[in-house]
Amino acid sequence: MNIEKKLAMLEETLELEEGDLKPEMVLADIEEYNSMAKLALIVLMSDEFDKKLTSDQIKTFVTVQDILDYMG
Amino acid sequence: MEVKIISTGDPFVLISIIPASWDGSRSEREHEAGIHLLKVAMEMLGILMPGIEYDIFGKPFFKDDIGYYFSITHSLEYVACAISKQEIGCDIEKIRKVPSGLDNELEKVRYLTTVSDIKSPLSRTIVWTAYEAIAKCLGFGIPLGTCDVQKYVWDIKTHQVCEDYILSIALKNRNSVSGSR
Repeated sequence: MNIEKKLAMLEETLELEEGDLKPEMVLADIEEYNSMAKLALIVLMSDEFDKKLTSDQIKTFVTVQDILDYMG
Repeated sequence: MEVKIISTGDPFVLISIIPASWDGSRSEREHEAGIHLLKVAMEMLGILMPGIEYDIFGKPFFKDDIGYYFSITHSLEYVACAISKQEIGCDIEKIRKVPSGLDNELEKVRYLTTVSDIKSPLSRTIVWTAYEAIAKCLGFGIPLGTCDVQKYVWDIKTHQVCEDYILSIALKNRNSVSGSR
């Protein structure tokens, strides 16, 4: 899966518009990156990537790129 | 900081708008506003506020056992604080579209709310805030385990604090017994 596809999935998960996210963006600066988005991210990783993302792992994500890297 | 009383008695609930003029980052202002609101609430209740500590999950609690629990929540411009003699969690959210991917998670707690379905943004936000309030009360973080929810007896109180914000409060019954539901 290419980076554009991953970003699109992430934007959909965070209820953002296409093109809103950039890999270098800091998650703490993204208003929509709240607890609801984090849970949606856990579900996304499970459903689409067959990965069991934990709350502790989410805490280690600093930038959008960290999430993209986790997607593999 | 102008304060509005949402609920008197137990739980005692206050809400306020986070002053945009305060110094610091958004998260710093949210934290400061939450602590300030807690102090105001404790003053209103006539209780001397003890120090605050944080458990290993980052959940704040009173350093001394004074027989009260509290929970603080913020969302965009609002901050709310709830105090009770029962273990408590609260969550405030702007009414919004909750992702459909969370339907299974919402269904874990929907039966505890007044909501009969999770079709509209309002009903979905009500259930989501209940979910978050329970998660905050338990202190384990998300996602919630079905067993963790059903292990206790919950009292969920929901308030529409203004046109587009929902506040839910989860009280864990002190007499909850494992397997009681």
